[in-house]
Amino acid sequence: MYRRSFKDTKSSLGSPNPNFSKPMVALRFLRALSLVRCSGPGARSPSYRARGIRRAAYACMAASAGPRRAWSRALLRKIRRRPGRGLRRPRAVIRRRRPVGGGDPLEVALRRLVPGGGCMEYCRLLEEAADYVKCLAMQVRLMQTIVDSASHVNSID
Amino acid sequence: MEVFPLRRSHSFYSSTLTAETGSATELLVRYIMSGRGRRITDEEINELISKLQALLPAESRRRNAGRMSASKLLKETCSYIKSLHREVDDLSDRLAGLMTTMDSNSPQAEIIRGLLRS
Repeated sequence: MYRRSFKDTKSSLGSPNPNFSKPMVALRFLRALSLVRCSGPGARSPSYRARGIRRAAYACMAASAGPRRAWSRALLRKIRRRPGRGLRRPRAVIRRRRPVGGGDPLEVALRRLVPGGGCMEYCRLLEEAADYVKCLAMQVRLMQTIVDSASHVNSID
Repeated sequence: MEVFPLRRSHSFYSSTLTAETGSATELLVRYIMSGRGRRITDEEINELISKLQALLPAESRRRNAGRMSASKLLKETCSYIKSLHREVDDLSDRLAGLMTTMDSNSPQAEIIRGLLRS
């Protein structure tokens, strides 16, 4: 169910900047939403669907940010790992898994919050955090707009 | 940009670097204590600080008038990211609830029209 929607978003990954605009993200998110809807009309509980919507939101956000950002790559990796794929492609880049000596509790907290933040250098972490905050805020504004217009439509009928 | 003097008490690896809680130097101290070796300039740090501070919501910026210290900035960023995560969860719950109630084709057109208007 979810794999189909993810492949849709993944195939339209172009260069990062042209895709990162509010209408583009909105279209992608709506497409993913309609796919979530088509798969399980009445048989699913709302919490299951809410989880699917949440994953769709994060996947669209990461796909729109592009592969240039470490947080978007880490987020997509985390989402793709869930459906339980068997095949493992040989990785060309060896990811550094050495745990960073966290002496500063604030830095440790930030690393835990930003996806992929465990293996980064400190200033890289700050840059990624700034970009992540920007994309998250835009995604929240987008979802708020959708919910507002949907509830407005519902209140009319 | 003047750099406040760093006082180093012991040997290099076990040294305790202290600095005033001005913004750039404190961030530089945190950077050094995190163990990374790359040389970083003050301008880069200032740029990162101002970039992060510009992204925080306006209410938070009004509360801390002027320049925030680095630890305050990190704390505000962490709490802001947490609140954004909570909002995403809440909005996806509401969307799931809304999608169960509407099932015909016309509300979708309304939504799309509403989005393209904004």
